[in-house]
Amino acid sequence: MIKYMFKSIKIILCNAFLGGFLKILQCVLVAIMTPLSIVITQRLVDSIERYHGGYIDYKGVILYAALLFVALLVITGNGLLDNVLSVILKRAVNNKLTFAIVQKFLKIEYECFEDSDVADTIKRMGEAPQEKILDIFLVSLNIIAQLISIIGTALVFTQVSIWFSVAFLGILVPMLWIDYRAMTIMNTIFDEQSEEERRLSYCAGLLEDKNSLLELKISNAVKYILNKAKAINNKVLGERVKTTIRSQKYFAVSTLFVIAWAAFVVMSLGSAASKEMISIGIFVALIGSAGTLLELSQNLSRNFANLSRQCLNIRHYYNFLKLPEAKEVISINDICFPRIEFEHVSFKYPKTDVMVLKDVSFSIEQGQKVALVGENGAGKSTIIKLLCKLYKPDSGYIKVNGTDLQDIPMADLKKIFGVAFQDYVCYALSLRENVALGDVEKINDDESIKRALKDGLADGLLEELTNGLDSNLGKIEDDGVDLSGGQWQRVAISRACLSDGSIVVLDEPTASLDPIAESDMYNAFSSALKDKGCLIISHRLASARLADKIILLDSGVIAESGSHEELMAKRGLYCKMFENQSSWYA
Amino acid sequence: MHKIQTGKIQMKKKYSGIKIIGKVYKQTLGIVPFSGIVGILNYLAQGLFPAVTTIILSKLFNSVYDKHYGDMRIYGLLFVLSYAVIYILQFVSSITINAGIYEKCTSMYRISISAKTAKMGLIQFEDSEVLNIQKRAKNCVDQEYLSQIYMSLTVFITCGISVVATIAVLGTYHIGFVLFSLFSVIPFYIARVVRGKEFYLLKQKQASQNRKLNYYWSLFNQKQSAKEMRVMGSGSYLFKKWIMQRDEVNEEIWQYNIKDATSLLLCDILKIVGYMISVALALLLVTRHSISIGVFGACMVAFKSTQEATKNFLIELGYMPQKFSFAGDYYEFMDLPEESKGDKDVKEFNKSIEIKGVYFKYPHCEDYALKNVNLAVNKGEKVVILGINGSGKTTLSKMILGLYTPSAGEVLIDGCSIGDMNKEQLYRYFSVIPQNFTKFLLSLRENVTISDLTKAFDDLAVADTIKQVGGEDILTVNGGLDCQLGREFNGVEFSGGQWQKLALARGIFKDGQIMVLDEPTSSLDPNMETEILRLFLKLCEKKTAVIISHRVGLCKFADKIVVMKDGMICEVGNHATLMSNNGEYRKLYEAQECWYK
Repeated sequence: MIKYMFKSIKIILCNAFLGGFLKILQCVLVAIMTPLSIVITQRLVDSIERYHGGYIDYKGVILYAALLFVALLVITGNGLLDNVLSVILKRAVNNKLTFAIVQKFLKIEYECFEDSDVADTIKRMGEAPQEKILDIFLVSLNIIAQLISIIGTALVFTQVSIWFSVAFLGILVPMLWIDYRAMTIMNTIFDEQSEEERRLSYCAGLLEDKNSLLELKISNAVKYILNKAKAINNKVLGERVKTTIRSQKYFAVSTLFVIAWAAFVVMSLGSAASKEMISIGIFVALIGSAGTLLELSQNLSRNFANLSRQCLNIRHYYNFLKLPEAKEVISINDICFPRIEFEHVSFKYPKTDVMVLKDVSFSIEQGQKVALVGENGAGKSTIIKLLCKLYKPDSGYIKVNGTDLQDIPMADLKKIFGVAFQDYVCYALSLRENVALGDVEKINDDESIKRALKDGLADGLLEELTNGLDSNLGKIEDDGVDLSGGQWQRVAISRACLSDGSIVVLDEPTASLDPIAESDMYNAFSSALKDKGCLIISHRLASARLADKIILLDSGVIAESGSHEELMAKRGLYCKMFENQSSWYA
Repeated sequence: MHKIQTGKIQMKKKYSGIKIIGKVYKQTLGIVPFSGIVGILNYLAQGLFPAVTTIILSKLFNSVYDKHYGDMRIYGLLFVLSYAVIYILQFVSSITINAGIYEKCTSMYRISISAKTAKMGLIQFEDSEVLNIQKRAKNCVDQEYLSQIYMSLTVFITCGISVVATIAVLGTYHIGFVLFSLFSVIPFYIARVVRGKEFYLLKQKQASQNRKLNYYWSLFNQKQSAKEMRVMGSGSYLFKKWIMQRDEVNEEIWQYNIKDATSLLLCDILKIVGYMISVALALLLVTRHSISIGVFGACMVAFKSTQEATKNFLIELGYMPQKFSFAGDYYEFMDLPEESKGDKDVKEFNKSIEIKGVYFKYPHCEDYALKNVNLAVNKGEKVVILGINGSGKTTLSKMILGLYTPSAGEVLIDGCSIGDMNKEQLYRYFSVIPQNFTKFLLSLRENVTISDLTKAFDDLAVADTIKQVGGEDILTVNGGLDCQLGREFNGVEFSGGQWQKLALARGIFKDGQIMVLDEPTSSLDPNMETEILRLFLKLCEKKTAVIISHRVGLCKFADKIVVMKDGMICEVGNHATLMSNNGEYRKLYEAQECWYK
């Protein structure tokens, strides 16, 4: 915890020295004000008494009154300073740290994104880890300031007697611990989702999702699930109330401490006053600040509880920064019209035991149209991921014109091929950007973009949109046009067509089309892309018929390969699948 | 468009801050009357506390000053007692507030949202405005805004009481202190006028701007976009774009923040001035012997607590518009229309389902999804509805199930309009296997029997049904029928095919007279798809069945083929007649045949 405290202070000071420094100064100043204002009140009252007694003239009173005004100004003006400083700090942190965070996102190895542990880290890190660092910084400062206040107050109390200060600290320390415990218990309610709570939100989700609700309504089971949710809800509520009461027990003890302290203050000050050992000023000032103890203790323990919670959170951020980054290799030569070759490639996903690809070898010649088919989970998409250098084969090589893919920099991939993934992204940007993201150097090359739209069969879309290439798509911009599934698909394919690469890779980006519409689209598509090679993935065999070569994958092994006619003549797995599918169509 | 907007304005007017407060109080006191009242009482006492201590302290200080030590003991004891009362009360109410007003109420609100959602018609889920308002209502409950409003108002009242009571006490010492009250209270009003509106605007502005930033941020951390950025090299472009957008958005927010901070400055200045004048006045009075030193000391304490009250008030006030807007969403959501239950009793299905001149439009859509649809499904018939994606097949099936209400025309079962029929009884007709079936992460038993819970504990029937769909492998899982499914709840994880079989088992476990099958999802591979379709055909042999598909091959098994195009029925008949008709069906048939010849 201490480590994270200092780390945050260091980060803030490195990135926003002036703001951070002023913030520290402000905290210390306010911290000193608590004991100081007690002393000033005390002196002021004493000076009035002496003025009444005729020992001093009014100047003595005015001095302390002026000091009191200054103290008030500092305390009240603090609010404004606080607002301005937090704006300055937040701004600096947002500008500098988010920059670094996004840079990191761009550099980390892709496989991290598919690792559920990393996904969890990223999720828990939240959307604004930089602000959490600032929070830790602020909480740390508050804790330091409060410790200063406590020491200062204890020092003021020595005026009565050293035992008064000892009693103050003696009561404060156990109170701090008790309050801290209570708040930690309360925090668990907010931080940890118990299994029952997850069940509850799952059941609630069933009632709020149109697909599950359809089944529940037709089954007359809405009430059943609702009652189930209510039962779990009662259980969860019971747990939470129990936890609340458990934490309140600690507060009960701390309440007793406060009352005991108030009694002690009144009694000891009263007896000291009756023996005329202390001045009226001390009496007034200290009784007036009797409540400070509770405030100090609760604030300090709240801050501690907060800090330990924040530190748990910030761990995810530091873990994120430690994620491995992809190594970049330097571009060696220009690659054109490549021949792609898989040589005895075997692969299993990190942290798993199953070989997804086993000794896979095939090649794609220039201008060839290749279809990759097979059942779900046969390894089709894995081949694309390896080809895109998102993963590295465990053994074997992928070669482009004889060069090992691992020696080709990521940035040069777009010179080899353009890709439309199964889960292509619908960018809520302009149509121009949506296409140009396939090769950003062409962002202002209207001709190439229009050609790509034509190749991707999306030129009709361009005509429909009122602002042409610069029309905003998606729901983020106010004037954004939301496209249908089929239209987004075509945009994604156009994106793949924009690259100068000589092969277009389509990893089943057509899930929302029915099989026949898919084949029609691939048909039109392959004639539009006469000069380019093509790698199509589908489990719909009608689409595969177009290909010069069909590669059938079965549990990670190439089971059959050849043209449609050849494979049908073989009467193997392909033939069986084809006949199964065609039985529904004719 | 215009109509929708005026509707919205009326909604907003319907729930002004005062109305919301009224509703929150009624609701909270209804759920947790004891906690609610204790909470209020506590805050009332807290409000009086500063005034009471001011009186006690002034007497206590005077007794010390005048060296009346007997009195000192009495007032000292009173002081300690008042402390004890206030802290014990605070402790008790803290339990009731946390456990009652926050925990209990929030959990009730949460359930109320689920219950409300389940009562709405399915069509409302197609309306993005309804979905948005539901999302905001949930957010309102999750953030405990309703409970917070309840407590905020008590904080306001407390601040008010404490300021008024303290001023009253101070006024008895010297009428000049009432002046001080003006300076403490005026900033309240200024803050309310200046900040209230400004803050609300800022929050609204931030919400839409943040949505944009969050969108860019999500592009960097989601795997789909991460993949494209790496392979296409588009990362640096999006990065630059994000930086620009971020700076623009942040600059605006900061401008607002600075403006906000300076608007507070005025309140702060007034506050300080008020405080200082009061202190100066007290000093003047004490030096002139108009008030005693004891009163002076007590005043100093009182000033401080009034400052606290003002601060709390301002903080709470700042959050109010935001809380009101969320609470308004919650109540607006709870006011949404619900599906009518229907009151006509339903008899056994024995003749036909008739669809007569049905038109249907999705919310906020200009085009009709169904146009003048006429169709009869007679008892015992197998009807295949054919058409490409988006032709209206699934919408038509939802009409037959009585889930959507036609915009015009009607759906009759045995001559009785489906809209009047008691929904619960109507649904007993149907066994359904929907396109997007649900993977219930409940027990294996519930996954099958949820379609007919009256047979929930007929283990034999459950096992039989699972075997019927070829799910022997499902039955062998550890824990038997009552094992938990889904890795999320430490249960058994099934494959896609196994889930599909479970959905099928669930559909046929309920012995409905009419079977409705909507195309299983397109992600199934061909062998699986074939297996499941064959099975289904076998299962509905003796029943009335409506099958939605785009596979013409299925039509060979149908008594009636319905071809849909652009929301209209373009052809009805059997395979032979439709082929000779030379129409849409033949076109579809031949188009598909050519790919698979």
